[in-house]
Amino acid sequence: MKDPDCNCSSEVIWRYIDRELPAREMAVVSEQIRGCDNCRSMYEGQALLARSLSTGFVDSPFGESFVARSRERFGSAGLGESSGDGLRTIQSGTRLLLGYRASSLLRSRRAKGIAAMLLLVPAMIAIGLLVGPRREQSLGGLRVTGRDEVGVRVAGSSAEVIFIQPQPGSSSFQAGRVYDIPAGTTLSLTLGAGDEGRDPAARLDVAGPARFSTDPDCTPHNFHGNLVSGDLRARVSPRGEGESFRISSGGLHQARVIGTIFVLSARDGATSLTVEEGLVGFGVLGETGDYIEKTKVDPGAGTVTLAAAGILSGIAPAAGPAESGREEPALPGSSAAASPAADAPAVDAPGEGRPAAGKTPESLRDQLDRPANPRGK
Amino acid sequence: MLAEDREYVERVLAGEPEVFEHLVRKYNRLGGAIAYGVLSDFHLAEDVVQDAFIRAFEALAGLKEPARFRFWFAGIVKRRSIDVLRQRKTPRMRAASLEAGAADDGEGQVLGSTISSDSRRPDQSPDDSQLDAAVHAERRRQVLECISGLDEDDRMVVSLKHMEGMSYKEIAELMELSVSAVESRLFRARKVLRKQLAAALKLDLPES
Repeated sequence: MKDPDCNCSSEVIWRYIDRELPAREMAVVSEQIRGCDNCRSMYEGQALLARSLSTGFVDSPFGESFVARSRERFGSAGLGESSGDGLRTIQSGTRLLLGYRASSLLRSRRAKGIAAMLLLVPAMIAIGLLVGPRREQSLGGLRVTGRDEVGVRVAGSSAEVIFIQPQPGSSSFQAGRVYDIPAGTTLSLTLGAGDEGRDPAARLDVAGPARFSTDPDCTPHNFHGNLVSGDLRARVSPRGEGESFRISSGGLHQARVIGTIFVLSARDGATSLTVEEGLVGFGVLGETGDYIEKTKVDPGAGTVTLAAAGILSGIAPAAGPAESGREEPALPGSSAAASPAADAPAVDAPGEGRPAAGKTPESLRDQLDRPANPRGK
Repeated sequence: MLAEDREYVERVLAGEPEVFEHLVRKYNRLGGAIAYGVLSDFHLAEDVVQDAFIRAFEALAGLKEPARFRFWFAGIVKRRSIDVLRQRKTPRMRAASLEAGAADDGEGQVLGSTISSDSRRPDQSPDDSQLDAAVHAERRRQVLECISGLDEDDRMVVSLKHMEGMSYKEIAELMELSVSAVESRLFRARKVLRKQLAAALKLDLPES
């Protein structure tokens, strides 16, 4: 029903969809959308428009295909034959480019293009040949629950977007993918399910609105994901020797896991971590991507937040929502337990493994555990 | 990350030209969004971005703040795009030059009016898939056509937001506008697009 006090505007809903509101306001708008037909209708229309506009660009010639075509253009000109030649060509290309700067002959547009291609594209070819085509690594199972479809594209590319609808079955979950999860939808990932008779290496629920990506080189037992924005809940099996589980957020922070259950939230450059079971290393990523651990977080620590500048702040277990700053995500209708189906692959039973349940932010956990279909569909 | 860009630039200048590919990979979409915003044509935009990378490489040693490669490169792309636009002196080409435009307008209208799903279904037959692909292509073509009708700055804001996924602040920095100006442009452009797409795609987009 329409909230008699409804004062949501189209502008506010757009800021919500664009994730431009502070965390606290995101939570307020989320609640408003959930409880007011008028706001929900406005939100759904605007979210549909946003998706339509984004899909308009999926055929753009940019992304990885742009890089590949640059290589092809060079290859068709016969300027590079093999990786060894490619490396030599880079050197000769460098010399040619240096020579070109002093040469009036090479000031023509065509010569400039050739000179630059001699330098740039052989480098791309050399890298491509040396690295070789990436083998697509299946990480386990994937399932979408909730209201809308999840968009999937190859990392670094805009051209290969598919949409996975909410459905009871499970699809393959691969490395090197970017998942866009709309509000009201949850992406459940099971790493290494059924792998060599072992338990899943991890189970993750990413609640929309969120963007989550997987590193192209990761495996179920050496997993590296990136929570670009949104909220994620993970249950990770104990790691064996040489195994790792890492979740970065926005390229700034990283949580390293030994074996645990935790909730991670990425908002406006800040990352919040709540550990329900086990122990998680929590730190920042340096300029070269190196991990610098700031603290270890256990269930007794409550919610710990790392700001963009790497400043650490802890939330006392007794702190209420008014003090918790960014720990109030906006997840209208989203749920880690989004499907009541017994075979849900990545859902922990409510309360399972949460010795410190009273110390986690209630709103976050409530929203992650809230049943799907808030509209009663 | 800015520090990452600084490292890439410094490595290229130190004799690792192959590292430039990292910058090509990282920023070709950004360049594409800017060039498309000016030119409203993906093929022209691709040429411009390619050329801009070449120019950027040539001038890399003159980049005073390597960490700000992104803004510097964006400026090159924008200037090149404007140059190309002036040289052409022809009416804007429609974005329909994409392969997406395979289906003709009449057919697209019919398909768009009868199929509203935007997702692939697991139970669909190959024929369904082909039909869906055609519908999706047609819808994308219509979306781009509507976007191409916006004025240049609005189109660029929409491109940067929906093609590159940038925040208001990032767009503001790139376009040298205030955040509120970006939001205002985006809001206005979306309002126009909502009306056009609701009619073109038969979408249920409530008046906001």
